[in-house]
Amino acid sequence: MAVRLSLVGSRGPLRRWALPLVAVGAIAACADVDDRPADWGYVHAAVIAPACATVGCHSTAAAVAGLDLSSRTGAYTFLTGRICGEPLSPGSPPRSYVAPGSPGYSQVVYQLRGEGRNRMPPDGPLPEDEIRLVERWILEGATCE
Amino acid sequence: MRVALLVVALVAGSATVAHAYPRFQLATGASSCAECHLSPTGGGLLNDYGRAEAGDTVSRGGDGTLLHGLWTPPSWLAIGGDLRGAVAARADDADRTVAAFPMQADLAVRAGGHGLTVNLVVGLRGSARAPRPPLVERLASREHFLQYQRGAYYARAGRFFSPLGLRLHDHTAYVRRYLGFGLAEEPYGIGGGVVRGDWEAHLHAFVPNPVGLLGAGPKAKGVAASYERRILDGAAAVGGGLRYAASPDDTRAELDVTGKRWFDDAGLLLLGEVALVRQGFAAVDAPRWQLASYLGASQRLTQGVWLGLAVHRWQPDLGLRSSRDAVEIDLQYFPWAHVELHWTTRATAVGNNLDAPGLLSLAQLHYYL
Repeated sequence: MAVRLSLVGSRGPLRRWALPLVAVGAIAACADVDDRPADWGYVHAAVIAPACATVGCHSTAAAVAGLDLSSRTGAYTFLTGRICGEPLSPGSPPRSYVAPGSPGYSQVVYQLRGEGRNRMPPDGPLPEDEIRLVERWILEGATCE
Repeated sequence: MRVALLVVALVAGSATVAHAYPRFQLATGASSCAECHLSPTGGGLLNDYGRAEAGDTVSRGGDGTLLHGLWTPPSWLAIGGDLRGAVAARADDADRTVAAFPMQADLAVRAGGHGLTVNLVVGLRGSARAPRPPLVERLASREHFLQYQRGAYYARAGRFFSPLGLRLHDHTAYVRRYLGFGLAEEPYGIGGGVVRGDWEAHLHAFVPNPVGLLGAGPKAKGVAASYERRILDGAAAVGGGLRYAASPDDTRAELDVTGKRWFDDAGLLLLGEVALVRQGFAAVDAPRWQLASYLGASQRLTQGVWLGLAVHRWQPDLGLRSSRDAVEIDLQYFPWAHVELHWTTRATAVGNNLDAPGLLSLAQLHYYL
């Protein structure tokens, strides 16, 4: 409180910089709680496409390891072995990178963390926040919504 | 912790900066990029003055003309190109790798006359990782456009980037990598602008690549506008830009601010860029704000030798603490016209984890035609 009062009551440079400083402080103090939606439409546009679908990796042009993750529906099929909009069948399709409901059995999670496999993306590992979001999407069923 | 201390030492112990060729805009006494480049937006083919500067002021000597003066193309034709190879060593908490790889092999051609030109950059996509696709599959054209230029005005149509931001040469700079200016992410569109001695302005409307094989990046259409003004008798420049891009999956509204300052007596150049982005998503109502920033300082040690220090910051969601930060030192040596040796080392911290940064050291040999 003392700090706030001193800012309000001051003149000159301190007062002029008070608002920007508070704004920066507010950003720096952002909550650690991640309430972002774990929906595929968000996960793909916010995490997968910008990090993975670069021209030398999993873009349409390169499709390293046969994976093209550039489109929302295509990436969903490549990762889950399922087709967007079609009803889910029990069990995981063969060779899928995602086991719906089970992050611990999903290869993609181990690759994102580089645990026992080559880390992806190799040139810029994802922040833990982003990996947890992918995990949450898998935990909630890895649907295409 | 020892590695964190190393990062601090790198920051505190070096004098300077960046990858940027934009440094030559003010450092060589030129006002706009177009003083040395054929393109009014800068980059790519050099004009006669730019080639002369390459030998006289940028390098430690030599003939900057095409093929070192062995052949002079007719006036309606300009040819250039870039060959670049690299050796890279990377280490992080999960991996240590060393690789040598071709980075760039581009041929640039400009043909035409009376202000109307066809412009083309065609080459091989670099490939740092195996398995490398066959050469024919890596053949690509990053830029191709038809341009009409008359005096200070130009208009063009085809494939090219929006002239926005610092337009750094390094495509891994966060203000490029995370803002849609990554490798082969050029969209198609129409654009135009005005380039004068003390200011320039550009406008660009774009659509995504019609064929995925041509590149990468968001499948977005939109518009971009930018303005730069040179001040302090050409020793500084400030600029700003706006861009709006909409794809089937998201929308991005971007505000971009740049600054450049050349201290002639000290041979020191500062470059800075901040971009604020609001990304909205088609699937859910959960927009987020993002921030990309760059600050670099370049010290000219002597003619043809530059030492630099730069910091990059990318915050993909300002609502979270998560960020990607990098500190970079680099040394550029231009022993003679056409040749550049470039060494860069970058320490990257992901998610504010300063205790275990990833380290990348890259040595490049660059020959431009």
